[in-house]
Amino acid sequence: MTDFESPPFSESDRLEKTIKEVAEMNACPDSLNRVCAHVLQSIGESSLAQQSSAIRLVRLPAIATIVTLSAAILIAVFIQNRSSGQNVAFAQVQEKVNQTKTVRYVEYMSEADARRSLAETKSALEKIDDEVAMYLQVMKDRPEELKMLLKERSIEGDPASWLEKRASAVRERAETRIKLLENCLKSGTPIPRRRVWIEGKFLQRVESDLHGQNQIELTNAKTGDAIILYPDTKSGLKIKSQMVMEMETGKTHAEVVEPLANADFYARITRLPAEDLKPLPEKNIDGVLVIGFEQTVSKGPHNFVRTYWINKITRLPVRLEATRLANGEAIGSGYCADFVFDEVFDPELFNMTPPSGYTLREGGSMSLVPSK
Amino acid sequence: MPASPEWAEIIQRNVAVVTSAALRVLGSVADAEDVAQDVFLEAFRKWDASEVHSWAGLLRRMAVCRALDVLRTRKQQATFDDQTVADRSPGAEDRVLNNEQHELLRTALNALPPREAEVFCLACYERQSHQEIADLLQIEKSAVAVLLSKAKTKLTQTMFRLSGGLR
Repeated sequence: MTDFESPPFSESDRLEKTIKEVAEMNACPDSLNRVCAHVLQSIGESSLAQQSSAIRLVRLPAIATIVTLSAAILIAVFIQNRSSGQNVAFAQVQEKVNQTKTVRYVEYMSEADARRSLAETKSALEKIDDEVAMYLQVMKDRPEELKMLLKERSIEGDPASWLEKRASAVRERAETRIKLLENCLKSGTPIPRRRVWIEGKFLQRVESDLHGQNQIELTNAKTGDAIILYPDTKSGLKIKSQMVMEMETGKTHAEVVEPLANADFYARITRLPAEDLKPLPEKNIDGVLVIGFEQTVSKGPHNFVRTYWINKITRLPVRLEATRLANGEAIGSGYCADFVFDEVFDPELFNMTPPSGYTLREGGSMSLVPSK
Repeated sequence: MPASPEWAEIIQRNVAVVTSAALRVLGSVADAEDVAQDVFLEAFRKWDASEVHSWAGLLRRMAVCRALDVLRTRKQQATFDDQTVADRSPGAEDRVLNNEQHELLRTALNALPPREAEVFCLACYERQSHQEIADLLQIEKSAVAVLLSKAKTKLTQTMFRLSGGLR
């Protein structure tokens, strides 16, 4: 998640908000039915002596049933699709996208998300002082962690001064963000989150600047290499590994970041199972006749609804929309648009060597694992 | 051996409580379903249907404990830098929409001592009163308050640290 998407919250507010969201999660009816069926089947089929391995005993027949059912459903869908022709069209989309060599597009945030983000940023701006006080307390309570953090971030001198400097930067960025969001909302201008360039399906460049700090992410999906450049400060962060920390001992070691098979966009389109798509009526987007495909994905209590609007003539995407729903209510949304395919890009766009004058350091993600 | 009507009723009455409790801790439907199945089968092995006065309370606690056990075996991902790290999730739209905070909370929860994590989940996720938790864990009501307060403080601090402090 980028800074842009995550404004600085008061930490206690953030915790309470997260607790509330998690507490509202409930298993969906399908999930409950699956659990009931498995447990009743396990109890019913296993003798008391076998019950310690009841789950495993039931899994094999259950998997066999699922495979048989899936095959039946796929055949039914295939027969149905042959008559409707809709999914054949999406297969053509996948083929067309796969034939392209480059793509660029822009991710935009919805107006509702922009309003929510504006309110959160304003609230966070009012609470920065509390957050500074809290950080000072953490520094006092956990000197070992402080020492590690200072070393990790190459911070020299008084940590309190460093903290105040950071707080000033956050204030400034929050103010910039508020101004920009207010202006865009007032004028009805679409608000970009990120601009994306992909070359050869694996080299990706992502630029974002709304949060007041320009940022360029360069990734090579084949090698797993990733680097983030911050032109404003002429600095960079090379993502080479992830740090793994043992919970009780605090011991750390590095693990290599695994490469991805493809850049996001190509993976998204080409791996999409056509049988999951619901056809939508044709419509016009900015003078282009498009056909729509809708996909609903259930992830726990949340549903993701993705809509793919495809140019009827070229069979290439025009607009991709995504909405996250919780209990039927939209709680987040965004869309990708302004697609341009097969443009010749300057190779410098994907050059992972920082320009001269940049200071580069290594960083990465952190995992917490139980101590051995 | 077929499930007795009593067991069928116990399972059907409590499946939502058990599966949802596990889901809140783990955030994964598949893992929550596995935990729920384990909980019911463990209960089936250990107790007679008529032996337990409040199945909901017992099964809820078992679900929370088992889910926390599963959580501890996972590698939890969290950013740990004062600047943004490259997002390596497979979908651009998911990347925009996924809630990183839930995962941060799970990572922080994972670092809590087991008893504090259990009290936190029962109080904050399962919305059990301090008295109900005290009865369930057979501890003093005041001890529940202390454990919960400690847990929240540690969670706040850990989440703050994991999210890279002031961004």
